[in-house]
Amino acid sequence: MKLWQYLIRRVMLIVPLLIGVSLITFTVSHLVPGDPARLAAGLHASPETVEAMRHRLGLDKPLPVQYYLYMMRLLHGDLGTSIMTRRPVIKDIMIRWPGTIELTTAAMSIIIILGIPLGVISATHRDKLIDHASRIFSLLGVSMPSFWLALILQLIFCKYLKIFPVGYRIDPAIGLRRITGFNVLDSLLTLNFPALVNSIWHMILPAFTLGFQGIATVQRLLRSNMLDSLTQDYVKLAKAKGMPERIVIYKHVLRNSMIPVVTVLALMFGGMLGGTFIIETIFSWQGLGRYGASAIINLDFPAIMGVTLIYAVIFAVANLVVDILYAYLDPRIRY
Amino acid sequence: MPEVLLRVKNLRVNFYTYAGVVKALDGVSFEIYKGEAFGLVGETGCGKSVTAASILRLVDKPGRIVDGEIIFEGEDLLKKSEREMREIRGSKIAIVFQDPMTYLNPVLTIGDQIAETIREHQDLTVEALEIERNEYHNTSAEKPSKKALREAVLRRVEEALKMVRMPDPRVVIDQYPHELSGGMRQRAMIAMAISCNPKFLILDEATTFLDVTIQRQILELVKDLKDRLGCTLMIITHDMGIIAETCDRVAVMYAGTIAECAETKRIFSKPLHPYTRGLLDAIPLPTEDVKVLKPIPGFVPNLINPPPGCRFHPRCPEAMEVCSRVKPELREVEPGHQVACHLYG
Ligand SMILES: Nc1ncnc2c1ncn2[C@@H]1O[C@H](COP(=O)(O)OP(=O)(O)OP(=O)(O)O)[C@@H](O)[C@H]1O
Ligand code: SF4
Ligand SMILES: [Mg+2]
Repeated sequence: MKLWQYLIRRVMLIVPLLIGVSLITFTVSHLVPGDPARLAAGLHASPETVEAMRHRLGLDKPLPVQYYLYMMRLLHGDLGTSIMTRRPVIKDIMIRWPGTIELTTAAMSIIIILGIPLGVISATHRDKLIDHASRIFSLLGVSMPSFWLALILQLIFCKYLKIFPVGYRIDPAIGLRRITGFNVLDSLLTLNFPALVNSIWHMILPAFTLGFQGIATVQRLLRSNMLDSLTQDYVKLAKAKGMPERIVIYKHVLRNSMIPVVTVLALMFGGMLGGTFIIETIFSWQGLGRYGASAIINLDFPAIMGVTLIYAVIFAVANLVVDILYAYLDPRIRY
Repeated sequence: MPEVLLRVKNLRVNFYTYAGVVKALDGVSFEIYKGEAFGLVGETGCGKSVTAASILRLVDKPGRIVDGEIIFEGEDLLKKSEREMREIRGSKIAIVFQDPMTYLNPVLTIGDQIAETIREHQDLTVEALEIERNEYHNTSAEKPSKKALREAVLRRVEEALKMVRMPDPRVVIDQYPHELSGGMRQRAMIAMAISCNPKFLILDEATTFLDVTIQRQILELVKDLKDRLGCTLMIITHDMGIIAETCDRVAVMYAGTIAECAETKRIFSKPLHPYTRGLLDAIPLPTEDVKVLKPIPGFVPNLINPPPGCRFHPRCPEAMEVCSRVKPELREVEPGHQVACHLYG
């Protein structure tokens, strides 16, 4: 099968995925206790107002009917109106998704930039001091909850050292024209250097917190893969051919050891999307995670549904990218 | 008197394992003459691969060369720096291993794996400049362009693949190991080994995993390459049949020692060491029924606590009292025929 045929098939598979995700989210979010009509109408509204609100939101209809109507509107690109913001959910999402993509991309970059070298150093300096140090670091990484880490980092770097800002994506005093919604990209496009520095500055702490566990995971996995690969016969042959250490490690060993790491990176991306709910909230980051978190607190059904569906799409696309990368790394895989 | 290419003298290799010190090579000595095909034969675990690894100075981790000399072209390889050894590996001394599936890197193309050897060891400036001049019509170039260099390497890769009679070399260059058959993979590994015109080529069980027809083809190829390239061969095997077909001289190894060393004809016509005799009895003659194959009784000894004296004495039908006490030295009993056995001293 050709790559493009495979791509088309994979993209089409996203449709049943979305139906499944929407069904589950719809059911679960309507089964949790709480009355969104009451929340929307206000705590002091009269029962009549609440009933009117319930009717207006369509919450008085049976669940299957509600789901059917929702899906029909979804086909026309209508995700309903948010109960919290009273704006179309699709608009809310359009404003916020670049923030989340920017944050997760930054976190992913940090994982790759730190995790891979740490793994390589650990493996090539096995049982030396530097290996122990980076293993302790990764042990901390996998055992520290991210919300706790976020608070500690905020305390140290924002409150005491005052190096990093506490929250938001950019200092509001810096004007930045919105083109794509990606701050880094927009500041590059408008050649706005202060905005570029400022938005990267805002990104470092939340991205690091979001990626911290990932760094540790990649480091550990890569270390053990490389140690395993170093004992393989093809390494013996590479050495017997007189290949220098550098080529043995970076060409023969690393390439083979990266294959499982790429799979884990894909899984991690999903975990990170979940993590944005907490991290974006703690760092007041204007993105889908924070939006989703307050939607859950406010039982804002249309917003919850919208965020979930968008996350499912992002996750599916990320997986697709990884699968293609995987085929590039491992020639034994063909579609 | 033929010229000696490689002289291994009193080589000792230990593996320091948790279970104890494995004395894998216990004073191995032999000489290989320029241009000959030398065989190293013995049961599994007797130290053939460790001997080969020692020559390349690539003994695996818990192992260490503790004593001896390996004189190649008059210089002791054990005294060379790691850097000097790296220049020798793959260029002057090359090796072909037994299982091309695991020894070839699964994620790199065959062409890439051959090319990296050439790039590492060969200066192709002259060839590349020629390409630059004749094909890119760039007569003023003093240094070849990257493109011309790449082309020069590619041609050498193709040449190597043609040397091993690889079908469709141009296609194979871009293929991955899993896309080739076992025989083709072994040809690719041989192409890699000969790509820098080595003086000395070691084949460690290079045909063991191949079926009989392909095994025959590969052996023919190796003999042919030896003549065309003028290199010296060391053929490691546990198969006396292969030795008979391909080798000029042979050393029989037993439990980390050389038991006997002589011309192949002589070993087959007049084996002296009881172990060699047992080995020859153990190969079925084509006329014989395979059922009458006579295995040597007993087990290969454990090399952590090897038997004292002659390591073969617990299995030797002719063992004497002295055998369990004194280690027999390898000595020449007739011109060109060395044996390590108390029966001949
Ligand atoms: N990594 C290792 N750790 C411990 N002992 C080892 C190691 N490698 C080899 N040995 C020891 O060295 C001895 C010789 O091994 P070697 O691989 O040279 O045997 P061989 O003659 O090549 O056998 P085969 O026909 O199976 O390839 C073995 O008996 C084993 O005990
Ligand atoms: S030295 Fe003794 S035990 Fe060893 S082979 Fe000769 S006769 Fe047998
Ligand atoms: Mg072996």
